[in-house]
Amino acid sequence: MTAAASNNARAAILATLRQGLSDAPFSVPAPPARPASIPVGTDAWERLAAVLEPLGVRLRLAGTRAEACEHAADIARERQARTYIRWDAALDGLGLDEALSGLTRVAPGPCKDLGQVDLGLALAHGALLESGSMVLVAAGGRPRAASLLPPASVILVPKAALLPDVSQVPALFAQHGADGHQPSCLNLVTGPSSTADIELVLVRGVHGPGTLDIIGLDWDE
Amino acid sequence: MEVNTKNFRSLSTRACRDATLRAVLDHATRHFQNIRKASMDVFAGREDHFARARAARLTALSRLPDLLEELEKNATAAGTTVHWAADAAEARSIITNIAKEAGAKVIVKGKSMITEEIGLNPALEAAGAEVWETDLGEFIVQLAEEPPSHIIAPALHKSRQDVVKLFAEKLNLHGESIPELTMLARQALREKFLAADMGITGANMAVAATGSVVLVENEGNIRMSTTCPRVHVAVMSLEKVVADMDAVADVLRVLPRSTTGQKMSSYVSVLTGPRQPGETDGAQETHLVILDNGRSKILADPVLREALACIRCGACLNVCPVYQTIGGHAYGWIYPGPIGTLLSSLLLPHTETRDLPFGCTLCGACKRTCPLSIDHPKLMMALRERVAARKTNHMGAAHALLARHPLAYRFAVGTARAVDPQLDLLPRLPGLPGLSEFVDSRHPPELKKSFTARRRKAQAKKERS
Repeated sequence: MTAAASNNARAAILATLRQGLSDAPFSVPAPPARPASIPVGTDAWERLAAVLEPLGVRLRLAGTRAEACEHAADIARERQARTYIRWDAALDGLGLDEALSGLTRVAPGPCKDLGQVDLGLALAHGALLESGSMVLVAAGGRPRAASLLPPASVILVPKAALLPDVSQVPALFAQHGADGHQPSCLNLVTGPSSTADIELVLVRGVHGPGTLDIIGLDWDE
Repeated sequence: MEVNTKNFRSLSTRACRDATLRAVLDHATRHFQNIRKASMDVFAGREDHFARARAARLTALSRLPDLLEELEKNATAAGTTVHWAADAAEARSIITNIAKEAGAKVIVKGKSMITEEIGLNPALEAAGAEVWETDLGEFIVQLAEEPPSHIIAPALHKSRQDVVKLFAEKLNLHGESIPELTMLARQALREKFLAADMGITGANMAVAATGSVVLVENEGNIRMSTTCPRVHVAVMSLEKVVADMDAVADVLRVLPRSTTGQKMSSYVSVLTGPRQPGETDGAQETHLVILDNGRSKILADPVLREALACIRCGACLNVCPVYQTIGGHAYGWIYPGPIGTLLSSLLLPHTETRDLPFGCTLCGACKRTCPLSIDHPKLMMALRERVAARKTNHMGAAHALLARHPLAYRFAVGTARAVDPQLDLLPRLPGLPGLSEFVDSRHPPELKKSFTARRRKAQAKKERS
């Protein structure tokens, strides 16, 4: 189909829509105010752990960088990982590479080069207490594949990233735009990959990671 | 897929007699209802959230042409190529051309009703591409060469044993348990994701203010289809646009809960243009196809346009006594259940869908369940009125005429009682077209003797005793 044909379709579609609204206009009454979010309180980590538990996700709290690295090493051992990929700058200061020194770090690249990586580590820009969703914003050094291709996924959550619910995502999305550009990819990750397409039996790990571990970075930056 | 809505009566009659299908549907629809109810029971501020989601969708419809232009402008600014397709043929042509220009040999697809609607896979295959459905349910029905039977659970009608046999026959992969079968599908499709040149998805929403496409899923196949291949094509029907990210948040509050009882689906992706400098994954070339296929005309209809607000949660299917009885395939096209009846009737030629709006008990369960309060029964009645206005049903008209004249009605019933009490001879009379269908579909209660006759008989019996 040519560009001219697409333009014709565009003009015809918009004209039909405008004619339709002109013939039968309608207005929508203002909706009720959005119910107030439950604020992030002192029990935020407990609330996050409680909402993650039914999803089969374990939250491990770390009070220091060293503790966070220990958790990461424990998870790597439990998942029998031999290789890992991680986000760059966002996680550089933690000392993860020393903690995972027995594993081979794989550099970000095209998916075909990452198909065999065992463990992926990423940093949450937001963690929604209502649903247990981790908000990940991709960019250079923050590959989408890190939380998708490896069978085991680890997401680190700074204390400052704890947010009440999905109503905070629009602000987060706007905040991560740069130079007038929107972020190319924002993901909400809520538990491991799952399916119930055969006889409605839940199976975790169909295309994405089968396990998800969260490490809470419980200190103020 | 082939449109078979014309045969809704015969397909549903056959489905009614399928005891296995009934058992599967009974189990599945109860399951979906239970998990949804458990989630809704603890959903604080539920009615307000429903109202906000409804307002987000209806506001978008009330500003549809402006929002589509805004979407086009912002998606283009983000680097996405926007295409407009008036109908299915144009959409197929646009997408096959993109595939050809990209040299796409292997194409992976995320679950998308819209690409089923336009019959995309055969067109891509005819253009020489290998096309793989990657949602597990869609993968199963693709291997079985069958259409999906539920909006959110395409292989609902397939048992574990069916899948065991299918994987062995079509893929030479052997597994027994459901986790084993799932892992086999993962392995088979992982190869395809890594080799794919192009990924095709639908769109749960498209955001006018940012030019983004929003995709909601649980398996990760849509993330794979948009992360690994060089080219991503999103196909959206034009009503899927919403104003801004706040509207997205309002819909996301409701959609996963109403679909599967989840507070949030495993993965929500907000994709805006191709990958940016420095990124090592994500599509390098992104396209958005905006499809009309009859929807723009519906916007002028003050009653029926409400159907365009649907967010495809599938909840109305699970509570519908007709869907629970006949399943998805009997509807004869890709959209089953109450919302499917409305969409098919609006999108297909009316000559193809005459019977669909009559496949409804008007019980209202769909309306009560719909998180957006779409009034399916009201819309169904409007469709029925239009069907009746288009083609006179002589038998129906005669029945209505008789019903307006009690004496004539009694005379006719009395005659029937005397001559043909079971109404099995009447349909065989020549020269009365439509009578057989009229009588067959109504199943009147057995004609009893008149009250006077029964009273007389009872009195006589009493006197004898």
